[in-house]
Amino acid sequence: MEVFKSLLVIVLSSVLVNNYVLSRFLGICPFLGVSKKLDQASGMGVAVIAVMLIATAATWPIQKFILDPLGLGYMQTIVFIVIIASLVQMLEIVLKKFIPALHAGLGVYLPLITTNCAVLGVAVNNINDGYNFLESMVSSLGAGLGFLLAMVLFAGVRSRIDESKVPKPFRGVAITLIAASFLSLAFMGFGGIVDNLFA
Amino acid sequence: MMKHLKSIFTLFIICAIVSVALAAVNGITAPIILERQNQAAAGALLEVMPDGGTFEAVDLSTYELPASVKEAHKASNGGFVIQVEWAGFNPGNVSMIGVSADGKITGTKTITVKDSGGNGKDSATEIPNMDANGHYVGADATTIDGVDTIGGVTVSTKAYRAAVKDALNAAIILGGGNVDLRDPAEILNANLNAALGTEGVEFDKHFVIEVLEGVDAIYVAKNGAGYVVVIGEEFIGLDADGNVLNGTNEVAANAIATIKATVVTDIDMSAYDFSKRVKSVQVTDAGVYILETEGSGFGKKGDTHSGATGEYLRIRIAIAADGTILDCRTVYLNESSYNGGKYGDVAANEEFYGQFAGKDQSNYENIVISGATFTTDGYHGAIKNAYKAIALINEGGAN
Amino acid sequence: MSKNNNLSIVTKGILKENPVFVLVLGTCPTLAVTNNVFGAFGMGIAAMIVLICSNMLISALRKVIPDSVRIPSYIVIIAGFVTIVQMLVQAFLPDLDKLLGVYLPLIVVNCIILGRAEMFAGKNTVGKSALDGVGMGIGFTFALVSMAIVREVLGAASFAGIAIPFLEPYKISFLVKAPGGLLVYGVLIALVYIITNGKAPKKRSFSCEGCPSRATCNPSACGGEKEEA
Repeated sequence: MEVFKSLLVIVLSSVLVNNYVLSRFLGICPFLGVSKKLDQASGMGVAVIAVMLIATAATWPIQKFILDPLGLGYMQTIVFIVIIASLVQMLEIVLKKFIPALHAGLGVYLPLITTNCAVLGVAVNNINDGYNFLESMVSSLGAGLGFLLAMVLFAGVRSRIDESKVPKPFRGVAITLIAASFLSLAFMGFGGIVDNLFA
Repeated sequence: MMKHLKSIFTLFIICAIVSVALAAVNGITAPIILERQNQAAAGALLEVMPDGGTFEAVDLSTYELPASVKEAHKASNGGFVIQVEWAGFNPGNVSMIGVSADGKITGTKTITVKDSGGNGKDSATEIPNMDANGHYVGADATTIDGVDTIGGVTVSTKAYRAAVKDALNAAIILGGGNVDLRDPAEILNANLNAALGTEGVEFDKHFVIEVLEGVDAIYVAKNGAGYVVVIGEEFIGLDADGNVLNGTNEVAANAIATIKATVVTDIDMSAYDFSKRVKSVQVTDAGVYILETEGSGFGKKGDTHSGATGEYLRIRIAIAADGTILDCRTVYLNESSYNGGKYGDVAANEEFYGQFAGKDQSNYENIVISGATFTTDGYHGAIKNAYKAIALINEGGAN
Repeated sequence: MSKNNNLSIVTKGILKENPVFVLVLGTCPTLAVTNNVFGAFGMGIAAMIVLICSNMLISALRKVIPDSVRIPSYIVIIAGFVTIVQMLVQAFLPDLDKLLGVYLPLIVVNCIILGRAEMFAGKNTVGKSALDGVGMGIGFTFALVSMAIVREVLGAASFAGIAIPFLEPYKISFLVKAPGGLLVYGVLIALVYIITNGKAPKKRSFSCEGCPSRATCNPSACGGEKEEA
């Protein structure tokens, strides 16, 4: 029960309170770049969840069982990014070969994910926060779900922006960022909710 | 094929060179980073022990220490910095306590406060304030129990004091000294048994209904083996007939003789117009009144707020002819259902109601337990009812 | 002529092709570390050092690295420099390390660096690549610091951690929080558009050109966004 509760706290806080995109600013590039249409946004979100889970499943044991015992903690960044890049490549190849339908849906987003700082960010944060393997996986799931939620919500916001008349200097990137600011403001409202729920 | 091999080879060479470069830089920076981390850790330790010098972690596994002690560092000046984890209203409060080589507190710092609100005060600010103001600095094993707690956050600050005491004891033990870590009740029982030459006998504290000069407390063996009179630090054992077991002690012998000679008479309740809160009245041949009275704290009737079943709190009180309270006990206290039982538990503690002994009508209201204001009111009400009853008897207000 | 050319390589990064305000690259650190001027400046310099070093090394190796392993090689080289910078910061500037936290190793995935490697260093000489690194680095630092000044002075009534007491009653503390970062960023982008009269930013879309994965990337994944200003 205690375990379940602590895992629930991890998920809720990474989805709502410390949303990777809206409060930690990780994965902003795809958040702004691929959120124009709902189907793209949700496709990207699902792909990110998959990559985050796979990346954590690979990086956590490598950190704990190879880098830490050998005193190679300083190789963390380079090892993680290489692992993530290779995993994404492999995932794309596997999908293309065995599940072409899924590849058609998600494959186009995979190369973009290599440089998505949210994936590397969640892998590094799991180590920094001292999570065990289960907690790390749950926290990655939460981070991915938070990303998906932000993407989907924001896709809705952007479809409205497209229909409105925006002053010229603000057209394009500027108004998108300002809209993201309001979405982030809404998420700030979740601050403290997790602590109080389980206090 | 050659092209692939060349690609793989180049990538491999790049990886190898980068790794070597990283290892080289790490070789330079790692000792500096380590040194800095040690300094940072020592910084926190130095905060509670400014002249501690350098610190070294102590392996606690070979010592028997209070359970709250989590970590300890030995300073080069011979003192210790002890990390304790303690529970006030909530568990998980963590503090660091510096104790000098001669057993004095050099500083305290609370790293994590999980306790929060009290009666208009917040432990999360009050406890760090205590640390910053050096509330415990200079206290040692003999004075620690007398250090003030802070009203409004009494529960937290009392728990904190106990944690500081644990740290003090731990430092003494780590420094090679001996501390009795047993529960105070256990120590007392051992002392009482030693005085009587018995083993494992349980004792009741004698309810004081006589004016006994020079005696701090009297304990009665439950199995009838005898009495133990406490005078200061001394425990004097007496047999069931009131003879001092080892040597002679006039004061103790007189005290027991007085107890044995005391005759208690019931007063006819119907003879006086007592408040219905007065449940029984007795008087001794020396004119000491013994009353059972009620007062209402949280547990007053019809108070759904407390979820109480409608009982009042009841005390047993002995008041000498001159109005001095000789003893006060809680018969029952129906408050524990409120707020997780904490206020009630604190108020039910002998440490609280025992303080009424020695007070009189003019100053008993000075004994207050903050954070349990309603309960305190209940006690004051019960004592007031007792005094009223005695006044009624003295006026000869027979029906 | 050549001198002018070299100078323009440096200066274009500052405003005309400012990586943050015009190319909209490296948005994550831009938003995350700009609530403190000191942190923003440190991040800018750290990224600049990595940018210059990786640009030079990649340019020097551009004839040696086979095309098929180009991207992995770049990533390894950049990650190497990032780690070196990270270790040096941890050793000599612990305060900065505390401020930047996880964003310091995340320079690895800063699109500016991989983007410049792919777009510039892989095709130009060592000297020019170094100048490009300097220009882009200055532009990045400039953008970060100017954003941080707005956010910290107005939001926290302080400058690089030093309090400005007379502003204290007027501070808009929401600016140092996450939503404030996005808001200030959006407003500054619009401001740069006005200053440059709408001429410089030819590409006011989201960084697909700077994206190293562009070659493999289906345009629809990038939203196909190519707005004509």
